[in-house]
Amino acid sequence: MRPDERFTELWTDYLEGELDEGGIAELRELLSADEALVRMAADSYQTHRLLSLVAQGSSESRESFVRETMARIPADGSCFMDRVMSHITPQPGERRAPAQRALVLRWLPWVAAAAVLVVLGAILLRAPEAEPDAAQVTEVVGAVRWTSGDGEVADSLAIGALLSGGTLEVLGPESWCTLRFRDTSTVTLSCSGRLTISKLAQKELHLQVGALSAVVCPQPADRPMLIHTPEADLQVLGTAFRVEVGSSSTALRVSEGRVRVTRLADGSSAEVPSGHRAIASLDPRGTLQVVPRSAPTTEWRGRLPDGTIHGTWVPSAGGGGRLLATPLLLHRDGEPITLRVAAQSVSRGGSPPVALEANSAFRVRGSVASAGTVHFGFSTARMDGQFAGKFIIACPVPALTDGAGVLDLWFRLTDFQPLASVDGGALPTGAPESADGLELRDWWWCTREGDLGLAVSSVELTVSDTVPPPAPGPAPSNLGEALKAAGFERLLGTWVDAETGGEDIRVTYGWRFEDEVMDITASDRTKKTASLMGLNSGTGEVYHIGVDSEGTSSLGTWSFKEGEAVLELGFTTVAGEQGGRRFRHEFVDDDTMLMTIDYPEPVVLRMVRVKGK
Amino acid sequence: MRGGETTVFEVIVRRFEEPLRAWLAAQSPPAVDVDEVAQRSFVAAFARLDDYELGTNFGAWLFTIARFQLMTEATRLRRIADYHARYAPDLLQRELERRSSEPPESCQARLAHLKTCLSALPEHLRRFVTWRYEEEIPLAEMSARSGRSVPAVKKLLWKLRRQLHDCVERRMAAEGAAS
Repeated sequence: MRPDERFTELWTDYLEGELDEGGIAELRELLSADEALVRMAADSYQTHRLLSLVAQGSSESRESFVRETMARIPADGSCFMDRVMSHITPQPGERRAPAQRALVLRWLPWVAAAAVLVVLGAILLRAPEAEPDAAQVTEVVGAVRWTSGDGEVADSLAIGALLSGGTLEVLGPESWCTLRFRDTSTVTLSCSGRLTISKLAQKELHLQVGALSAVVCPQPADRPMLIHTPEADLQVLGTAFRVEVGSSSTALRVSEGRVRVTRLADGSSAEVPSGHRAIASLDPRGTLQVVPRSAPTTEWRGRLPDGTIHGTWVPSAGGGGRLLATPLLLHRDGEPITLRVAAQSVSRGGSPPVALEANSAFRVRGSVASAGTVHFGFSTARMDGQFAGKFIIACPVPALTDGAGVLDLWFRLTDFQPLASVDGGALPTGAPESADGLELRDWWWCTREGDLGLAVSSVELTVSDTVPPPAPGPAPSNLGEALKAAGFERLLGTWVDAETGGEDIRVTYGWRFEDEVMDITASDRTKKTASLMGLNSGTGEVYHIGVDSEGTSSLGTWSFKEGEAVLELGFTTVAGEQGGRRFRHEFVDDDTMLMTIDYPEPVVLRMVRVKGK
Repeated sequence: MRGGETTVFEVIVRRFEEPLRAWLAAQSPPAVDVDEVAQRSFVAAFARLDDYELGTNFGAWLFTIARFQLMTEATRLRRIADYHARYAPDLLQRELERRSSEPPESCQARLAHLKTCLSALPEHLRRFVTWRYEEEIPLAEMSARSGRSVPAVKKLLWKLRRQLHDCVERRMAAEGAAS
């Protein structure tokens, strides 16, 4: 055995606590003979310790550490954390682009804590009376737009950016943005909302459309937070509430404290206490009524077109109708993207809150004109009304349509994934991983790959124990059907990496036997590979088998989910070494595809179709 | 001076717990309970708040306290008769001491990069890290679950740590070049 192999063995035993005294002595001898091994051991040791820390990194574990630490510190009666926290927001010069977020977070604790103590004295001496109450972006997901008071438009916002005197828009159903004011009051804008933030010292917001949930710290009696909507004025002294603006009404739900609401149509006003709701509409026959919040229900059926957020309602001659998905242009990473969206609010109006449970299931009915992948998603709130997150599932349409192109789809709650934060893909701290126990606020249904003629006739939520089990779509009978169902029949053709025009990698997908077996030939700078892809009709699995010019054989499977085709390969070299690799494929458009090779540091290749061959 | 400090101090604990634990995890010799030293550091910092000079770098002040707490703990361990025989190759300890002069913030950057690198690992490899560090199951159990021999599992863990270390280093270098 070579010394480095022996070192590997001893060192691993050492980290596992399995090294006896003789082993320790041997390890020490190897280390003293080779300085490089000492460095390697220290590298490995540090990685080992940091991995343990990462494993303990759950919010519960961190919370437990804080609790244990604070339990060891003598208690103290007074409290002015809010005022202290109000002084630790980054200054305008400290804004960073999303990609630099890690760097910001790395320095933030030092900047923040230094600020905490430095400002302690200053806070007690002087309150910042005349400063505009800027709001700091603490979370942003999806497409947003900020238009400043002087008309400057930004199509992205960085965590930590300070907003004052301008309009914030969250674009599309998959977006939201959370802001924190200096006194730690927070507001979350969602549901394709548009919010104008004043430049005044007093918190003053204009919610033109969308949903805003807020937790507001106690405000000075002479300077309450003011929220204006097209139908109502809200005056907030410190409370938690949610307000949602529809086409001609504002719905307010208070979960803590009190909010004074004034109905603009007639000037009537009322205080809405905790656990109550109020609706202010423009209907001249209506009045401002404050009523206790209803008990939640677990079953719901949307009465389209009520509560429509996106889409065009087309009535049918025999009653009912369809909500046609309409285009919505967004910018992601600076690139324009057009979604076709149909969406409906669940929580507008006077209907009871809808509670999601582990065995809840959505039934979605509608139609499509052509094949593709559609995404169904929904927004949630905690039962106290505060925004909780969004959840989504991707669904290949053709496999689930009947002969008339009519959709009748079932989605169980457990099938949905949380929409992650846009930079890094990680869930925001404290964000729920499951929608079980949350309240349903809205749903949306969209396509990202062109107009499929998507329309929705009804959406309902039910408890799966009380309905027939979801009807699975017909299983594909061959590879061609499986690829079509996933929207990956477009793989056919020759693809080269855009950067070198195929010198780095070139892949050709073609039928060996049409719709049954696909030939895949690939070449890179060092070798060529020949593979076959086929469908196991018994299991429905899409298999992959290949060999390269160096004799390495590979065996794997393809899976298709959420617009992504994933090839998981296990390989064996001629020397008998084994390993695994994952390749992910995602279409940008019909002629462009991103191929990600999951090395520890993923490699992303932009592949373009070779035309005319 | 001390009015309201407990409440404010909790904010400080929340802000600093991760960087401090990351720094201690990377610098502590074997057998040191990192969380214990981190908690002692916070308690000591709270007790000495009057010594903190307003306007200076609070993070640096806290890490200085932590460095002394770690030295105290390491000294205590060294005084245990069979510590070296059982736990710590002295050359490793010396190398860690040498590295402890690295700025504390680089440890937190390492931690952040490690999380990214870990999430990029293919699932069939990441599960070994989960088993070892989250579930903390024995090697034999990992062997049974994966169908690999125990030596093969050990070798894989070694390779994974190296891969992750290399990935972190690349990211640190790229960040350094970009800044």
